[in-house]
Amino acid sequence: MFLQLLLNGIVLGSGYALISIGHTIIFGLMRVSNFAHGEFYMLGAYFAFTFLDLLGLPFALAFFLTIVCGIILGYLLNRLVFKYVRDDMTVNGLVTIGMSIFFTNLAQYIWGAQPKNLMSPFKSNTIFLGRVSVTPARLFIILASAVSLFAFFCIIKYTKLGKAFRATFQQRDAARLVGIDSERIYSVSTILGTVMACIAGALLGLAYSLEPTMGAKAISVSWAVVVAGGPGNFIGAITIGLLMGIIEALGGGYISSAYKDAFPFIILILVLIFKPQGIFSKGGSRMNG
Amino acid sequence: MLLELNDVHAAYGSTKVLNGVNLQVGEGSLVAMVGPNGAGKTTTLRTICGLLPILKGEIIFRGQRIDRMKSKDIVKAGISHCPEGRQIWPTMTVAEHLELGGYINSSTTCKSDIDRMYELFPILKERKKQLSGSLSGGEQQVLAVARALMSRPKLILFDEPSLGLSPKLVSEILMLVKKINAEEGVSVLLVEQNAKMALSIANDGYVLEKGFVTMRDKAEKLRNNDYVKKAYFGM
Repeated sequence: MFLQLLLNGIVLGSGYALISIGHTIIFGLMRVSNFAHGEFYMLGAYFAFTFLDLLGLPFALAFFLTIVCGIILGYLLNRLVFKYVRDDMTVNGLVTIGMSIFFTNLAQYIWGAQPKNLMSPFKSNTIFLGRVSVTPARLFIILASAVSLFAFFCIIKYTKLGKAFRATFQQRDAARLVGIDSERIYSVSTILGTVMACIAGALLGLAYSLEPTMGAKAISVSWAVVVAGGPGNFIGAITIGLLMGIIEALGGGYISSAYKDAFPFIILILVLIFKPQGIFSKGGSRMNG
Repeated sequence: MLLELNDVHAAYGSTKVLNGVNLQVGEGSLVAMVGPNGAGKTTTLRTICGLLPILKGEIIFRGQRIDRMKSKDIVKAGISHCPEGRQIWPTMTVAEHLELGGYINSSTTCKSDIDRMYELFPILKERKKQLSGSLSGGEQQVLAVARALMSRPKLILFDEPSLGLSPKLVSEILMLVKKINAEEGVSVLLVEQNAKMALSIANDGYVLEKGFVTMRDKAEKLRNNDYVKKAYFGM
């Protein structure tokens, strides 16, 4: 039972880690309190649904197109919205709350309020690893999340763009003084954050059903993860994201499934009481990468 | 003239800081700008490199108007800025700083320039894998200077390079500034609290007060000027 719940928690947690890493870029580094981030997770799932189920495209292509849609969405988000409201957290918070409501209703208008399921390309027969059973789709979620996170880290750590990204968020003026175009970095950051949310949506859509309101739950957990992990802290977002998934699964299994949504927030409250700067932050400073 | 500021006005929000600055830096020269806190020295440098928008006036660099250009294009035109307080990126390595210093250049140019920096500043080679936040103040300043050199500038703006350093390091850093000017052939506009030392290494000097240039002369003449001595050397 324990190992089974743990595995379920890792599946859920890898999704949370993906959503949260996007959120920690946009909130922790760019300082935009993006309440619509959950809706990009939701849209990612519906993009995948559109390409897979409605258009009947092969899985790999559908997944690729979902990422492309995420890139376009992220670009437009920065260009049309963030660019104008970036400097004021109250304003960008209000604007993104409005966007969140708009996208939820837009999705309901386009795809309907009925829960949907992604047509999984994986066989539904479960694999048994000892006493733990797992579907191939769930294994794929864990694997694909790990690959996405690894790719993200490689971009940030080794590419010229990634270095420019880190420099911009550690000391913006110094970055501009070596010729880095900070507007371009903001665009890239928004794209990265949005794409991560879309990937999370498409992946978790393989295991859970899709609803236009699914972003609300995702963003609440994501806030808890980002704050508990320390805003702008990638390792924090991933670790706490995984942990929240695991705690949710274990709590749901051992205590009561009726309260499973509450567990991430119990963690958050404890973190805010005992280590308000975030578990992975040293002192009050932001860590970037 | 390499750099020319004509009647430059600039402000932070509604607070006017520069009220018509006129300043010239000749090809190959080392120009020092001294003045009290809040006179607009840092603001002048920030305006030149495009971090602060200009309200009125013009800035001409190598015959080209640069006062409406983006900072990345100003870097490409050949101006590098070594900012006040060093502004290093604390969780990035020394090597990464140098790479990004050469951000506007091709990676092959950048590579050979990094090797040259390691030759010029052996301490950076020793520390190349270290996070720059763990360097000492003097080492961080050397790193900031090397980073500014990496873009292969024609002109470097130095903003208080001696800030927060021990007296021995202050003279070392200013000698380094002099050396960059003399041996690397890079023109320098130097802003410095330590007015006496700045004027002793410079060719020309400016005194900036309340957003105006109140005096300009050969550096050695300013150094012997009674008003400058009294106001800035504490003599």
